Amino acid sequence: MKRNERILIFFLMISAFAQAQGEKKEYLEKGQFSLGMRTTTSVFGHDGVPGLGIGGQFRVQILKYINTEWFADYISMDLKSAGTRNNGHIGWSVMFYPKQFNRFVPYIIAGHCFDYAKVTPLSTPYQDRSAEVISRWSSAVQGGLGAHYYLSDRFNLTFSGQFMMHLGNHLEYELEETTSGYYLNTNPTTPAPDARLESHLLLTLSLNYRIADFW
Amino acid sequence: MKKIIVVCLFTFAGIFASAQSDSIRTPKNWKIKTALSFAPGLLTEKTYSLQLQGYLGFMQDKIEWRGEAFYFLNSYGQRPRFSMNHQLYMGAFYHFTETSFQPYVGFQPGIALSQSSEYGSLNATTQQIEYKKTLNPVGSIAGGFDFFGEKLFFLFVETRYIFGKHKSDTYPIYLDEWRFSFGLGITF
Repeated sequence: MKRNERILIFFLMISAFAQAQGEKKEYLEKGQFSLGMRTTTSVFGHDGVPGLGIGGQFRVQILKYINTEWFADYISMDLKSAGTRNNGHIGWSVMFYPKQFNRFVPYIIAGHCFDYAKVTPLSTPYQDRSAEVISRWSSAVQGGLGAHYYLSDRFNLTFSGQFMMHLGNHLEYELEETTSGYYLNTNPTTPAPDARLESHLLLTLSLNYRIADFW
Repeated sequence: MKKIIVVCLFTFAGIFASAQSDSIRTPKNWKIKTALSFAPGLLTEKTYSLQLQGYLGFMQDKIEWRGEAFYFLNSYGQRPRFSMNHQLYMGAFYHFTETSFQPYVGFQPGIALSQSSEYGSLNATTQQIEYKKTLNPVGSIAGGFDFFGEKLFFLFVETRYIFGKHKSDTYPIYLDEWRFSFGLGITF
């Protein structure tokens, strides 16, 4: 092979390599900072009713395979038309990416949060039950699985399922079935035996946008 | 030698052009959108509502981030169940094309400030019936299209389904609604 041809092939290879580098998408890199909105459904809880929530989060990726998520949620539940339960969560989670499949990135997630819960029994035009409202602060741990799907190099849809277990004080109340529907008793004399460990599953759909690369 | 110089020149020009196309892509293809419109909505039991809708969106690479507000004006029909139902949304839309005609779909989590006009509760202290205003999470799935003019203006037609429940200290009421909107917006 002539010297000129070898030089030509060498430069063509450099060109091809540079093109390939230009086309490669790195969806997740350390130092990325993203902001997002989320909607959360709470299921399989103590009351057996689903909740709907709204919240937001930001993510700071500390390593290529480890991300952190800082979130706040407000979830409300209709307790079978006998009252309302409102929950507020504020916390953080660590996300671990075992493998990235281009636009699709599954992850394992675990973390901790502080939790505020308030239960309001139903009042009517004839009965004021506002004195029976109960509330408490506690903390919780959560963990589960999730996945990102990147629609562009900055934007991803994320779906996760996390099991949340509450630690600390438990809210004592019972939904009692009566002939005219359910009655919310916020002062039960004997708490139900299965109600000691409060836990539920959180299904979260979030929309996230990368706004900065810190390092 | 002359051949090699020509080849090298073209190779470096190719690399340079590739790098340039990456670096100038971002600032060229984003836009801000804003619009104001009336949005009628259909509820169950032959009832409809009227809202004033305003939004501000940021668009890049077929993705639009949009913050949206609905101001409740009134509701009519067999069962106008709310005296207040203002809503705020923040979410994202995916635009299927980047031409002047852009169909899109999106999802927005949101929150409603709502007040029932049907169910009140007794305040034992004042002996008055109160209709509490509460904040309730809602969600919205939306779809529509934008038609962009050459400069500044765009036309939009959109429909959305809203789901959620008004919860206070008395009976809950569904906030579910099918809403429509169209109008003229400004983009830059």
